[in-house]
Amino acid sequence: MNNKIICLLSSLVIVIFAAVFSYAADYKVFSAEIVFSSVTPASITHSAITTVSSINGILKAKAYVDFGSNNLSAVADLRYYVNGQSLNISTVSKGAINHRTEFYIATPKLNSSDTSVSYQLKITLQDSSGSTSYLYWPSSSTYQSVNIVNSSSNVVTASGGGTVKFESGNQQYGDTEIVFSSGTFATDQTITITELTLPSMSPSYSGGVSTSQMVALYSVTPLGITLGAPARATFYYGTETSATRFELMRSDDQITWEKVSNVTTDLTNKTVSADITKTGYYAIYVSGSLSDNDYRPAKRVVVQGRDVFKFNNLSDGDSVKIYNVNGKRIREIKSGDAEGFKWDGRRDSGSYAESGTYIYQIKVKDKGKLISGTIAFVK
Amino acid sequence: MNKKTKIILSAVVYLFMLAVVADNSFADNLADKYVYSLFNENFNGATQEAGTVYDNIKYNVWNGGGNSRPAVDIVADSTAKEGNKYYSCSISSTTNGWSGFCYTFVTGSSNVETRRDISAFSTLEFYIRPKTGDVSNIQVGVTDSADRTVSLSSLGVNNSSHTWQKCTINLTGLPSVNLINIKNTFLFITSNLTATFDLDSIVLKRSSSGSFDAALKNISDSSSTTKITWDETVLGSSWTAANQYIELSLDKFESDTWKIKIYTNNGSASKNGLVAVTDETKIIPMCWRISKNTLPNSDGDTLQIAQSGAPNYALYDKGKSATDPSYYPWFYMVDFAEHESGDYDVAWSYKGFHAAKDENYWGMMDMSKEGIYPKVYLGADFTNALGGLTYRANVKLELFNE
Amino acid sequence: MKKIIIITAVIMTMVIIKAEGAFVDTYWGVRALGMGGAFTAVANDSNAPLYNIAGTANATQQEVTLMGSRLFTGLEGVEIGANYFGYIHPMSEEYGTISFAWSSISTPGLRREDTFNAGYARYLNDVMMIDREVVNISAGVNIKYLTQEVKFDEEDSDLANTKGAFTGDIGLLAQFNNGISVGYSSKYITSPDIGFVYEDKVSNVNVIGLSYYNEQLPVLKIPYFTIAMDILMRDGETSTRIGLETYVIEGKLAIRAGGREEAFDLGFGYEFTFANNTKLIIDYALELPMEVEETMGSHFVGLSFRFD
Repeated sequence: MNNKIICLLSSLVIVIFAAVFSYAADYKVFSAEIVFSSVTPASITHSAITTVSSINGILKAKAYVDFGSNNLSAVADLRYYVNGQSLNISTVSKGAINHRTEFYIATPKLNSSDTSVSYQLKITLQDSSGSTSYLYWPSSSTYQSVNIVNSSSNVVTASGGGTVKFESGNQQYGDTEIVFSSGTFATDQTITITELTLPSMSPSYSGGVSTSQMVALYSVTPLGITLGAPARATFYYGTETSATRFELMRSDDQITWEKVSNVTTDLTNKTVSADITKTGYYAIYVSGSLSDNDYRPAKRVVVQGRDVFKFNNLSDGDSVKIYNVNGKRIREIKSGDAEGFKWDGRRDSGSYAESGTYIYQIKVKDKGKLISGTIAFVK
Repeated sequence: MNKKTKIILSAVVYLFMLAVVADNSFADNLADKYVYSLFNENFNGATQEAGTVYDNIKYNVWNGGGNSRPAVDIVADSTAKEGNKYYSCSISSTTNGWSGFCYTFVTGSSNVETRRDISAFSTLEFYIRPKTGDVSNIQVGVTDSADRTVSLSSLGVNNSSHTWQKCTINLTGLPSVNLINIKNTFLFITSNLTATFDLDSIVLKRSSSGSFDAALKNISDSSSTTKITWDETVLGSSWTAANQYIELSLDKFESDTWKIKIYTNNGSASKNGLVAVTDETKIIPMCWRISKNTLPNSDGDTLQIAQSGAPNYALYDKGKSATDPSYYPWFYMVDFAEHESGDYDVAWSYKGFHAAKDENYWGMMDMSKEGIYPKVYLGADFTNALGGLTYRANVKLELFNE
Repeated sequence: MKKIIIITAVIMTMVIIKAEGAFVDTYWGVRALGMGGAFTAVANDSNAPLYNIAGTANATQQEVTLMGSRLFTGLEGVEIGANYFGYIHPMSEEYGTISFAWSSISTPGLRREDTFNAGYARYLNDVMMIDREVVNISAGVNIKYLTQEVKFDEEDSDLANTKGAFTGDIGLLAQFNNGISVGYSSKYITSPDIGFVYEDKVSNVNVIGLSYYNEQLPVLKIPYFTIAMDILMRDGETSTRIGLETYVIEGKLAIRAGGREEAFDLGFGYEFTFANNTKLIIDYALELPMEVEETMGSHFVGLSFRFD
């Protein structure tokens, strides 16, 4: 037999024997590892704001920042000039974030006497080791000019229809626009949407319903035209109210009003929409006929951490008080957000209340009576 | 090297290889297991119902001579000695005829009885819990050409003690036994007695110890790999499972109270996860779960991890409900330096594999007909992970005895 | 008479803060409520099981009582009712008294809490070898079963509607022959968890009660007069209840008043006596909340039947 083969076989034998009799260890160790690569350039996405409503006066920019696969902290600055004067900065910051992050950043409310505004977005990024980088929009040396206007016009053709849109300058919510189909007009027509300042006293409207609060007023001109086909109109009602029920009224002279029917409210975009058949003045009212149930929370049983109690249609000056079943007041809520006044189950001291049945009493300042009810908070 | 030596060497090699091959011609697990289970849930579980065959072993219950057949049922409850199941036996034999049950070797597709060599095993062990009657004279053993048995009382069984008692039969000590030519590898035989009792954990054991092994495999294709990893895109995400699992195998009885623990070995109780290499204060917490089979599976178990809120912050399977807190299969990883003394970091033990976070949730819900190889999955919470850093951890699986 | 009134000196922490929440123990029994809920040291009728179980050991006749109520009336949208049923059965001085009680607060269609109690109490003088002329000591235990039932919305329909738990109370009562009584009651001693999702423990409440009774109050000459005070400690917070009671018209008409931080109570009761020492008692209590507004108060009506 060949020498080499013998050597090979014998070493094979030795290896096999060794394997059979080797001691099996009583533990095993595995290494785990993950490597996060360092900062790579990020990018910002934003569509320009070209007009801001002189009535609403809030310029609010929406932007996305794409970070790629890094975890960074970011500070967003809205740098703006009003009337060409000194530079102002509004800032929003986010903690350690990942991937794409959406910002909303706004100027304070502009006055109707302000004539011009321009802005630039600057994002400061910082990684875990402290090194920073910057992103700009439109660029580090240019600013976006925004017109402060209260109206917008467009030509609606007889054959093709058209859209007239008035952008409020607040990119978080919807815009006012009217979509005309073909056949609405016999000849091409320029339609203008103008946002008007609210009258100091809300006029009452016909139908004998009591006065309520007007939140937005627009004119669709020229006045007095009856449309050949209904147009879909959407009106933005602004951020001053957290009400949930609205009515849309139309008038030819701002004196006699009639209710527009089949109005749809979009609370997320803060718009009301309806099909309209005439030009004229359009006003959005907070519905005066709020019943007690419009304030009461729809969801009466809330599990801690899963949801909150929402008291709707309340505004500054209203209050909600929560009492336990012994009659002891445990919480008073005097403010809320666009979703209303909320109770998460905590006492005034901040700790969570025990599970149980609770009594609420809502005081609406215009109503003068209390709205009471019972809710259950559960853990 | 002279010619004589060459011949001897080659003969040795040849015989050795023959032996290895010959052993394998029995084509079952008997040959290579240090612990061969006839009835045990933590190892390769074996046959159960009368007449069924597993791994070329047939389970038989029989009677003769006018006796009634013993009733042997499988009961599942928490009083089992090992796992969740045990045999509940009832014998009522009043004449001198024999009755009993046994495990018989069979071969071929028609399951013909055959003989096997069990001489590699040194002991036959089981647990008995006497209930009523007197079990002392029941005979236990093996069968070659004849029954080779000893009485339960000679094994030290105390009939008046109604608790689990261990019986260890030294196979070579059975009278006149030929361990190379065994027909029944476990024989339980009675005559002229009435008794009820329970049996559990019937195993054959070798004298040398066996193995504990843990193998790291990729989830995608179960191929072997060397590192536990996640994709870089998990940065900022909440609890995410790693791309690998660890498959455990145990063929070793150190004691009847063994446990396999899992922990990080980073040297400090606070470092219970992945630690950044350049900044040891930056830690990514980890978690683990153990499953009988690979995940996701057809029972709705997924690899998606969710976290419940205050006060438990327990980790549960997104595919399952969070409202039953006893079903939280993911455990927060602890570091060995935490000196956890309870069962929290035990992945697999004599009780079963640690299916969920509750005293009663040791998974072994059915007797697996394959060897049992539980799979350990890992997860981590990258919400506070930072870019530009490398994180590492050592995950250790260790077999302990009580 | 030995002055064991040292015990009475232990008690006084007069801080009034908050104590509230699930499984309130305020509204049980119209007579107790008329006395502001300060009943732990009085505890001498079928209202006792939920205030101080030890008090039932002193009953000499069987008694059944039933209460219905409507809380915070006059508030539209608030519908809360509290009910109570109590039964005490004194077996003998040697064997003691067993009792059963059920209490419930519910808002239909929203949530309800129920408590079921089975209690046992006995006087301890023979065991402690204390002369009954000096002080009458009794002790008792209650086994309670608490449940809460909630009607969840669709979004939370994964949760079970009911959650229950067992727990218990213990009580001690010492009545001195000079009219002073001291009582101690520890309720929900196991702090059971009745949470649907998270752990929500019903807190253990410890109450110390003090009362003084005189057949005719000296100086003011008020007949069958009781003044009582309870101090409740729960979750580290303390609250106090005070009550008064007097029986006029030869002891038939009860007039009661009392209160706690968030409410003021007034109560009346009238006792009709029949043959065989059988009595029928009608009680009424009115609770005026101090903090909840625009309510016409909570009204409680009870009917008790006492017989041999």
